[in-house]
Amino acid sequence: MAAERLKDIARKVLSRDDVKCLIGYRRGSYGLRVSPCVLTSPDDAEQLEFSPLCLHNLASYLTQENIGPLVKTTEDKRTKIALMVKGCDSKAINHLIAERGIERDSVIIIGIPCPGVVNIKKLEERFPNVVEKGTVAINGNAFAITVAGNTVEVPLDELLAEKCKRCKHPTPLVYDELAGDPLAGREDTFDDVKEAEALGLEERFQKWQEHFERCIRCYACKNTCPLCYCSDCALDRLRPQLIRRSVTTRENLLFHVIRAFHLAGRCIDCGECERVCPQGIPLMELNRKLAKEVKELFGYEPGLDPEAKPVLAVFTPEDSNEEIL
Amino acid sequence: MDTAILKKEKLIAFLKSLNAARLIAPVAKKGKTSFEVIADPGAVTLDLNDYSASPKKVVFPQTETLFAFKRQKDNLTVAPADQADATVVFGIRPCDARSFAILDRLFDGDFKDPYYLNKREQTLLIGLACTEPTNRCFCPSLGGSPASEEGLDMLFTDIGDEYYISLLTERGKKAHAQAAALVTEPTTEQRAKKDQADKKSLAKIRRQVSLDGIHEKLPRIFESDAWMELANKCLGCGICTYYCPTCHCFDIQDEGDVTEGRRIRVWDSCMFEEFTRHTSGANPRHTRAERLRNRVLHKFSYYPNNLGYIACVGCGRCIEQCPVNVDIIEILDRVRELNE
Repeated sequence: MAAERLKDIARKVLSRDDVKCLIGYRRGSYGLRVSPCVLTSPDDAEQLEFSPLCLHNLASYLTQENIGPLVKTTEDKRTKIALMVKGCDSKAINHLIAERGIERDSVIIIGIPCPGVVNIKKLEERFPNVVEKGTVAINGNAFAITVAGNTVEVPLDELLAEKCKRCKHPTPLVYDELAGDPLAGREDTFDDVKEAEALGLEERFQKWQEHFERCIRCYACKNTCPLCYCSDCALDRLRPQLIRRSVTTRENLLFHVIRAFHLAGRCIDCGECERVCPQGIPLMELNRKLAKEVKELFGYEPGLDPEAKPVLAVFTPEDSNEEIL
Repeated sequence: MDTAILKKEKLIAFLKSLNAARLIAPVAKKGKTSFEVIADPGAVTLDLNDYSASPKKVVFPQTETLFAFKRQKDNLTVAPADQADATVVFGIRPCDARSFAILDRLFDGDFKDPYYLNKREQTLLIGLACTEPTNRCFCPSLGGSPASEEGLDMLFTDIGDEYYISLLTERGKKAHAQAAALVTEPTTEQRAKKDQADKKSLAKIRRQVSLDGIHEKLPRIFESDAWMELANKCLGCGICTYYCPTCHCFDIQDEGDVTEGRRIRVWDSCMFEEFTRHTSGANPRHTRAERLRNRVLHKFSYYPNNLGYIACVGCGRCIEQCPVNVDIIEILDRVRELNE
């Protein structure tokens, strides 16, 4: 039902003469994979699907060259980009609008109320070496995983992505079309940060050194982040070279710590950096700790309101003075 | 003797008998298996399915010092790169060993790369034939197999309680001679088991790609709009190239100041925007479409043209690790279907 509604919306949107393309999800090339896709014709809408395998935050593509509305053309009136967004992804769009990264008018948002996506690493551990194209659906309190005609049910909690377990906004906060019925959110108590907070300074440093020793500086975390979109990243520069090119624990740590601080008050908890990391570095632990600090200091959460002033871009006399150097 | 049988319980003794200064083998580390220098051969983990990274770094480290310098008043000292120790890599997959043979073509080609060659000459490669190929594997499509011998000095094949050892080079035989007391001559039955193991493993590979006409086609579709379509979802990160056992591009940088520093080379990736950016700011490969096209053409067109080898061994790591399902098999399938 929801699948047909999604395709109908997509066909309608792709028929508009001001729409350049639609960024959505289609079945992946093998196994339990879904692939992002960029569609241009209403006939393509048939390919679209939404399932717990739709992990990617498609808002990241809005700032990529050849796709995104940041590249403005004067001749072509097909300037709008349509895209499928889950609740978490919609916060990225809201925040991009809030910090003037994109204009609201330049995107057509097809909102998808999302009951949760899988933790792909856990899923592939449980169902290793699948070549045949499989599917994952939600059936009550379980994921129904179908491979080569056989369906196996696994309780939601065992395979649900961490971010979904604390998702307050499964229904997109901003949309033009909604492909599904709104869903109720969960509580976010920041319990996930407690364990890390309990560590002493020495232990923390030790732990993160061990993690960053593994970093290979592929920059997947940076490139997939919807809010890491500076056209001239200071960390890429050769002069001044803030981060050396040598891949050492020290330089890796510097890169990740600077990036985490730049995302303070901006990270919307889509968890994409951690999902794409091929070396299994728990990057969201850093982002979550900073999100908690920002919430406690300023009572602010990014991505809830496109009109909100980005918290670290403004000053009010009521701001906490504790952290001013 | 070109073949031998080693009982599994004698593996540790066998590895010790090779007397290498460095033994590099797969070990479990933070939930993953990776190739590390190990002091104790007992730590070897032979769960081949779990190899996420290739041991390319043994001969081509991600960061390596070409020379270091130090200046004190008028006294300038230059320290050359470290010389490699005699190294044994045990447990390398046959696909990864083929990648060493492919890299040799470049680093031991017109220009003899001393940093690579020094390490390569000091490295003995002992492969382990794959018994459980994964869903990313498609080595037969690239001319390999789970028991390919190319690039190896020895190949171990698991035949139950024993390893069947194939001695493939003079160096392999010489190293093996030190362990001669530990092995026996294979029986006809054991030879049959080896053949069966190879066939069984080959039959388990389920992904494949046809390279028919690809080499001729690629230069002709250089300007195709399809590259844009194929690259639209690419994030432009370096995962595919950094996990690739044959990718070998590097950057050279000087780090330090006028009193002390070093010249390093460090992996670089053609998928990064910065890779071809000129000093002027101009960039001939500004878009992801141009960069993805370059990755495909380098592997399947330029490298075969220049060095006679396709620079892909079908290990499928780029497919498995890509966060957005950019799939080289899907790309090549598309290329074959394109009209010129």
